[in-house]
Amino acid sequence: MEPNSKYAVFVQNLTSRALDEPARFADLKARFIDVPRHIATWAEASNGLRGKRVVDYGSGTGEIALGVALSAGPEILVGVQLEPEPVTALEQAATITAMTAPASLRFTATAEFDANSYGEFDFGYSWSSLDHLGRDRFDNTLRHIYKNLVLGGRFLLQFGKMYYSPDGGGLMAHGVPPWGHLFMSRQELVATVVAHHAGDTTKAAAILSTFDTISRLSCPEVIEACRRVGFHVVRSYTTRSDIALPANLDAVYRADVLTEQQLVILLSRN
Amino acid sequence: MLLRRWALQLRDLTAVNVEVQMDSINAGETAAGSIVGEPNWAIVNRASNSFVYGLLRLELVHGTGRKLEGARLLVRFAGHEAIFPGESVVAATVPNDGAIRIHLVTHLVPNGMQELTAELIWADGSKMVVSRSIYRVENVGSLAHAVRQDLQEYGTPVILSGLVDSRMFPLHQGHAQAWFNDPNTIVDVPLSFEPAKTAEAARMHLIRWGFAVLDYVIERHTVEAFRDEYETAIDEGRLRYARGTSERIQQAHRLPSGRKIWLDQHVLGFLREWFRDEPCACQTLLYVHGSTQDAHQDTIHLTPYPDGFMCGVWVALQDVVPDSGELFVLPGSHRTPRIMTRDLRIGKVTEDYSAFSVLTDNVKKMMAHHGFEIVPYRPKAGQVLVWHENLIHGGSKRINPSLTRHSIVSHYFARGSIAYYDARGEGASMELLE
Repeated sequence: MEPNSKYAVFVQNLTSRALDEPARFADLKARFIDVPRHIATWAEASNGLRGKRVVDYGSGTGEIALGVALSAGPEILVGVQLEPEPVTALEQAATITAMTAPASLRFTATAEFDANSYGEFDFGYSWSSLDHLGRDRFDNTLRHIYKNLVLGGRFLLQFGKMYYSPDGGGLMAHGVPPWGHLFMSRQELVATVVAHHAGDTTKAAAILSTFDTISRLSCPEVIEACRRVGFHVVRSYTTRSDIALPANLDAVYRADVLTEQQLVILLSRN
Repeated sequence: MLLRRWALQLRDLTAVNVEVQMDSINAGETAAGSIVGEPNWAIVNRASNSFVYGLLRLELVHGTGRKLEGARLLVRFAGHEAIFPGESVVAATVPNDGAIRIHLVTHLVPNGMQELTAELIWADGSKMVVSRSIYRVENVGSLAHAVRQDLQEYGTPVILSGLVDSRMFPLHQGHAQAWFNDPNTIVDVPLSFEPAKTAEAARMHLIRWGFAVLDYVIERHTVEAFRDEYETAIDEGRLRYARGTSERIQQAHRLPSGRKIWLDQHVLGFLREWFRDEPCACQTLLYVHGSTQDAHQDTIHLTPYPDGFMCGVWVALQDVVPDSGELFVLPGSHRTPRIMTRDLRIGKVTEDYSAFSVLTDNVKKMMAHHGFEIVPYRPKAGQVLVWHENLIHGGSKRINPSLTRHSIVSHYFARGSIAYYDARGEGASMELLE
């Protein structure tokens, strides 16, 4: 049930386009429609998002936040940007159906978020946003999240690709084989990515620079960090890769860590 | 074996003495780091630790004078472990008594002997270690079982931090429901303030109108003996009360006749049938004059999960006359929404309830919206009125301040429920009356 009729039209239009032109629209559909639905489903266990104060940690360009604000009817949704970047969600949405941003939605940088004192939040989420934080920054961010939730408030944390999973380096689309980021040397990685992009070294450097910032945390480490900060883990969900493990890795890493692909954890502030 | 007597000084303590059995152990064997002693601690919301049930409230006093910023509290109970870091530990500290508070949801652990340990670790690595304590957990009956299932499904932690909030329990989502909250149980009996003819008639009235006057009267000599006892206790300063005021008097159920009223088997029998579970006494409030309390629901103060498993039992200790500041009720108002601190977006309180003016405003709005009638209650001495936790009620204005309105209200929870004070964020006291 979508409370905003324009959003309903938008959902319909974007879904059709994603079917017709998946290369162009499937990712947009995922961020505008599918992920907000997943978040709403996880939030159902704590009485949903309607009328709630919600925070999106790592809102990026804002598509997920806009989708949640339009579909779930929170009282307020604050998108916190971990890195400075333009919020282009509305612009993107307008290419499908022209819409106005809901009054409940606002975006802010972390520093401004602290200074503005938005009050405590009932529910928060971070979807594929904390996977570029190093261990220290990850802990600090969790503390920040914990501090800004009400007692008993819940937080949904999702990692799309754990580092030790087949595409944990985000390099498979650039010619690197599954788990290649674990067993290939830097030189081999550079050569593979450059070759995949027809000798474009600048592009390869940018891709590998992103790879360098990916968090090396494993699922148990993430869960342990959440507990250390004071969160209670309500439930966790892991998807696993069914790609056959290369023998060379099997001897070095634990198979269960190598196959953990996506991690979703529902936390509560205790 | 160390037997610790504790907590006479802790407020809101149900038991005169709480005894915690602790196996004396060499704390140095349990953890690395510099151990600087053992804090005082105890479960403060159960009358006896011979067995425990429901939501336990532990209070810990380290007594070192050290600040808790940067400290961590590590708690292990029944195979579960929780860490409460600096900010959380400080938040759990009540400013006026310096106690750190922790709650344990025993519904979520197996019945039987369960072990509890804790460490308070400061930033410099020094720590206080709480000796291993063993508790016999007994959550029995269909209500406790249903609550356990709900909490498991909802994901309630076994070890809760200092403050408890309704968000930690499933509320409207749970499967455990009180039979009497089912609208299909309502029989349209006429409104009455006369004693019911039978216990069944009282139950029907309680379902329909949210309160009932029982088919039973506390004997006159019990009422008179109690009045004599508490008047003497007030005169001697054993009970705190400023004569002539609307102040509530707490702990009067510790007096022998007060306890007799608390333990009245007829009343307990009625509640047992009503809850379909064992009633546990929580607290009493004795009044010499009318309370003049604003219209309110008890829910935010004495909060059960699931809804409805708390009852107020109001006993007239004199024939109540007009203008004395009579108890008033709003018949049928128990089916209005339950208002919690989460709905009001106010924090937990300790002593200062001024933030609760917003609650009064909300209740007034609800009263105006539904158009409930405000009806004063003028019973004879010994009459017993039972109300549903969510019934709106209060104390009328004392038009003639010289008139007394001797009365005692006792609050009872069902044993299998989660019982807490949402306003304060604390697990409620429960005493099994056997």
